[in-house]
Formats: sequence, C-alpha cells, structure tokens
Amino acid sequence: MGQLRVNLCRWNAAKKMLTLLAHGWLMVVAWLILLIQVQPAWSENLTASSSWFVDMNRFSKSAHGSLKCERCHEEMTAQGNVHPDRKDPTAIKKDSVKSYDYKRCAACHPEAYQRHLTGEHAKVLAKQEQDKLSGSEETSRERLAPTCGDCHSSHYVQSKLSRVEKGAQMTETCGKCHKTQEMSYLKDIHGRMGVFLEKKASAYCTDCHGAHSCESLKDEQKALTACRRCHRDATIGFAGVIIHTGPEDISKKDPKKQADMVLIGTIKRISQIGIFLFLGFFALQTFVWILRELHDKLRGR
Amino acid sequence: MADQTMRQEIFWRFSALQRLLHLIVIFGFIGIVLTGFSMAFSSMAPARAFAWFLGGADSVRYLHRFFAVVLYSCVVTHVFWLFYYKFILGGNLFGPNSICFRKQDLLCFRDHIRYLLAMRNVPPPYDRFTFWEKLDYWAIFIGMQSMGLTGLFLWFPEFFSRFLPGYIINLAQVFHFDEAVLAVLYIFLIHVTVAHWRPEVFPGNWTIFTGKTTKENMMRTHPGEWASLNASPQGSTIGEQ
Repeated sequence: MGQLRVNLCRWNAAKKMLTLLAHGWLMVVAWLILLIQVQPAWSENLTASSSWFVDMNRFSKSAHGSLKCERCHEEMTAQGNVHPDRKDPTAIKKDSVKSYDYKRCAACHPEAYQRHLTGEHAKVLAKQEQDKLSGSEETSRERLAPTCGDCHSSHYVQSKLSRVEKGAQMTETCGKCHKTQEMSYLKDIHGRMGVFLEKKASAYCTDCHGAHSCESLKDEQKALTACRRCHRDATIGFAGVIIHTGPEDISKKDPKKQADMVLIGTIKRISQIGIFLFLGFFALQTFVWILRELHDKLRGR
Repeated sequence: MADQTMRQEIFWRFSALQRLLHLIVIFGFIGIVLTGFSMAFSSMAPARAFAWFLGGADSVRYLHRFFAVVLYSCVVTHVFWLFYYKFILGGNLFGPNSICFRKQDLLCFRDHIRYLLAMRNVPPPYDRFTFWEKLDYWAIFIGMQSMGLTGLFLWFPEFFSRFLPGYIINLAQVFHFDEAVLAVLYIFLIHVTVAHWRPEVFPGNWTIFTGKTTKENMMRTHPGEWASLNASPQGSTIGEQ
C-alpha cells in the first residue's frame, strides 16, 4: 500500500514535470541566454474572493462544504427579516466581502481571529476607520486593510493542502497587495526553494511574519526571533540580512537598511558592467580571431 | 608506419596530475553549474524539471556543495603540487616557462591584436604558455577563491553574520551569481572557442587530455619555447630521442 502511494506521488510529479516542460521552447531559450524572469509557479486563481453567487459544486468540495448556509449567514432568516432585505434594495449591490461581519468566523476560529485583532492589518484598519469617522481621509476600497474574506475564500477554501501548496497560495494571496514584496521573496533563496523547488523546510510569508498577526519585521530584535525559528544559531547580525531587496520594499524610516541597499545596488551595477565589458571584449576578440585565422587558412598560408 | 612514429617527436606539456585535475574540474564545473543554475533560475520550468530529475531541492543543494568541495579540493591539490614543484623539484615559478604573467605577455598581447587587425602577418612568438592560456588559468584560479568565499558565506550565513554585518550575505549572493554567469559564459563561450574551435586548432586540442604535443605544433604555437629548447639541451621536455 505504501509503495502504491509512493508510485502515485512519482506519477503526479512526472505529470507536473510534463506540464512544466510544456511551457514551450521560449522558456528554454530564455533560460539558456540567462534572462531572469520570475513567474509564480501556480497561476490558477485558487483564492478568488467570494461574490454573492456561490458555485455549489465548488462549495461542496471546499473545507466549509459540510456547513449549512445558516451557520455563517444567520441574519438571512433572523429578526423577521428575509434575505435579500427588501427594505434595502442596494443590499445586493454591496461588496459582499467588505460588508460581511467577520466576527462570526471567530466562533470556529477563535485563535486566528484573536491573532488578527492584535496584528498589523487590524491596526491599520482601525486607523483607516478612525480617519473615515473624523472625515480627514477616506480610504478607497482597494487600499482598505484586509479582513478574513480578503485573503480567505469563505466558500471555496480548500482543506488538507500540503505545506508547500499552502505556501505557494499564500505567496500569491499576500502578493495581491504586497506586489514588490512578493517579487523580492520569489527572487530570494526562501522563495526559490519554497515556492519553486517545493522545499518544505523553507520559509513562507507567515513563517516569518506570523500567521494572521502579519507583523512588520522592521525591528531587528523582532526579525531575529523570526529568523531563529529555523536558523537556531542566528545572532543579531543575521537579522541584518535583507530578504525583501526590492527598492520599494524597504521603509523610508530605515536609513541604515536603505544605505545598505544602495551600496549593494551600486556594487551590483559596477560588477555587471565590468562583466559585460570583459566578456564583450573577449567575445569580440575571439570572433575577429576566428575570421583572421579563417582568412589565413583560405589564403593557404 | 613504424618510421613515422619513430620520427614523430613528442613533447610533454602537461603532467598526469595536471591532466587529471583538468578532467575533474571539467566534470565538477559542469555539475556545479547545472545544480547552481537550477537553483538560481528555479522560477523557470526547465530548471525546476532538472531539479526534480535530481531529486528535489535538498539533493540539488547537496550536490552543489559536493561539487564545490570537489572543485576546491582540486585547487588545494594544485597548490600542494606548486609547493612540491618549487621546493622538491626545485622548479622556477616565475621563469619564461611559468604560468605567471610577465612583461613579455603584454607585448605578445599587443602583437596579437596587431595580428588580428592585419598589421602583422604571423602570431607573436609565444613561450610555453600563451597569454590566453595564462588568462584562463588565472581566471579560474582567482575565480575559485572568490566563488569559494562567497559560497561559504551562503553556506554558513549564521556563522559569518556573527562578526560581519548582515548585508555582506546579500553582497555574497550578488557576487556569487554574477561571477557564476561570468565563469559560465567565459568557459563555455570563450575558453572552449579559443582552445578548441578556432580554425587553427579545430576540431579540438587534445594536448590537455593526452599531455603530448608534436614538434610541428611546438614550432607553430610555441616558437618562443621551441627556440629556447634548441638553444640549450637541458629543456623541460622529455623527448623520445
């Protein structure tokens, strides 16, 4: 039985490789001429936000598939109101994700909800609501800090995913808002190992930033705690290693890291120009050399 | 037939150890490049397919480090041989027969460029090693040190960040990758073309694998050494007859 399962795994991996190979010769050529191009391994949109319309086929297969609608949507029949609310004809036009009361998730997921409340996203949301109340600034819907439904599809969320699958999905989910961070993560060794080479021991977004709490790791002590979860021998210097190296990733309030990144960027550019000139000169020289020797040979010298 | 082999004078250019090391470096280099680039370019399907073929991320990492150790052992062996050559055999590391750059190489390079630009009819009279052979040797020799050092930084980041600032690890990543690209392009494009695919040596120069070269070849490609060999009977060659 165990052998059968291993063979099935191998078969799946082989199938996956075939689809990977089917990416076409363009990818092969791009690889051969060493162009760097980052592309998420999973492009299927697995975390599409819920809309008012629920695909029951997908819902029944999801992690919440065994729940009855009323379990989460109790107001539909409560307090004499029927769904949709006839007194409020705009109800159905409201954004389903933003108008849902996510306190109800806490009934089954209390720990995740508590972590979210103490986390960075909830803090930002509270500030944005404060701004809206005081009338100083209204945040657009896209800029509003996320709550449960922005990251988790309530109707289609999948259960029993492997760690690697979850990691790849969360990279895409977080990347919807944190685009530059997603790109720099995928270029970093953790992203390359975890998402592309499917190494379980690699770190995904929440392994460092905390599940649901989504902390910023600008503080080096905090970052060190995160590093130490895997790198047991790490010291404070280790927390200075820059993971998100994109120019927009580093906070303007962190001049030290900014200076480090500028230094690295300058050295990188100089080294690339040097390599280009060196290789260019010798490639040209070799080419002329071949022509010259060909000339001699053809002249019979 | 027998007369021809008797007449064919053989000159030894590379010792058994040198040939063996070159062979190991060829396979080690190909191995380290394939495993390294399948990690660096893992966002691309062919790299992922190759990594899967090797058995996943862990074996790719292991093999990369294995090849690194093999390659650096070659460097260490070679350095030991240099000491042996200098102190036991009493060899000269800086003479005209050495692999070190000399003033003569600069003149040869100038004449070579003049030859390429048809300002000169024949290539310059090279000694035992031509300037591009020296360049290949030193590019690899120095490249091995810096690839080795940056590689160690990436292998043991916890240790090195104890006494170095963290961004040194980022710098090591930059250098390790850039230099890998440089090394691969230099070896597979320029070294292979110059050493094997030029019209003069096409389809290949087997001296580095057999260690032997012919009298004709010596006269044509190493006229400087040929002249010094004829001037003094005590040359560094072991000729048959």
